[in-house]
Amino acid sequence: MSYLDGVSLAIISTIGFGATAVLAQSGMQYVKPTSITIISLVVGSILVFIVAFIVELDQVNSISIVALLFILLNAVLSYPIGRLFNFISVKYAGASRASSVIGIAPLITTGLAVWLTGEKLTIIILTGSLLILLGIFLILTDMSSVKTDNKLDANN
Amino acid sequence: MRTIKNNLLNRVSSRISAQFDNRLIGITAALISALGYGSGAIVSKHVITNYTGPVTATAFSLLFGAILVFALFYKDLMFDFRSSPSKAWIPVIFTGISASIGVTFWFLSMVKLPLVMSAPIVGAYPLVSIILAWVFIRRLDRITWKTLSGALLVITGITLISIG
Repeated sequence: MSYLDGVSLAIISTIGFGATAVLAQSGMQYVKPTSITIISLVVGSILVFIVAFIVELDQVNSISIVALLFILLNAVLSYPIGRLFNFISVKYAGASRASSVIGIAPLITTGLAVWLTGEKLTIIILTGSLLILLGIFLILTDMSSVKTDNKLDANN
Repeated sequence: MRTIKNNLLNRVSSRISAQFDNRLIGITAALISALGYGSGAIVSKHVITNYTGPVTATAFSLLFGAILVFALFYKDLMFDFRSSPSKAWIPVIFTGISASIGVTFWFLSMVKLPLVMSAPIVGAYPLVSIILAWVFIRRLDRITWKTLSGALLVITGITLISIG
């Protein structure tokens, strides 16, 4: 039962991540990627703080300064860089292409883990990396168009 | 006649060039984003392994992210508040809700499932984006077999990396 619960939770997460790019592209007909990033982070932090107060109240209350500094570093990498460029890519490449390319983030995590912590590369990881690169090449050479001529383009 | 033909050719070639530029900007931005998310995950893993719980770390990270991005781009937000219709903010708010559902449920699933199970399931989210884009925003985002094949290859690659 617990296993099925875990799968269900993972599927809900997949739908949440998958819908984000599509909703962002829909919002970008009127609103800039920077504004969408700000609002999505404000809404997200309110919701996740509510969940944190429910499931990890002790940890929220006892968080250390060192942890906060590491979290700040994570925030710099994940939001002004990760999420903002995510939404910029949705605007210019479209939700489907942007999501597919951003999906390579685990490859970067693995690469950094190999480089920084000396983890070993296996044949399976190398094969996976090659498939990802081939996938990106296909997406990059796709000549179909993305509609970006919206209100913002008219203003800028 | 020749001038008309030249004008037409110029227009077509500049349009193709603009489309290619847009796509290149988009893919470059996506790669920078992946770099941000990918390196952020290393720091994130260090924090949740050594210092605090995953949901707490995510909550504070989102809060810091909101403060940082607001400090950098609040003028854009003010401009959009003044100039955009109120209906434009509905998908924007839902973007935040869906992204936080994604992050929170991913962490919750990791409590019940090993990473080798949860990572490939969650890693399949580009397929969900493609399906939803095809259903709801076909007008904005044209989906081709090439994009679909590329997404499938990326997801297979991510699954292999998660297992390996």
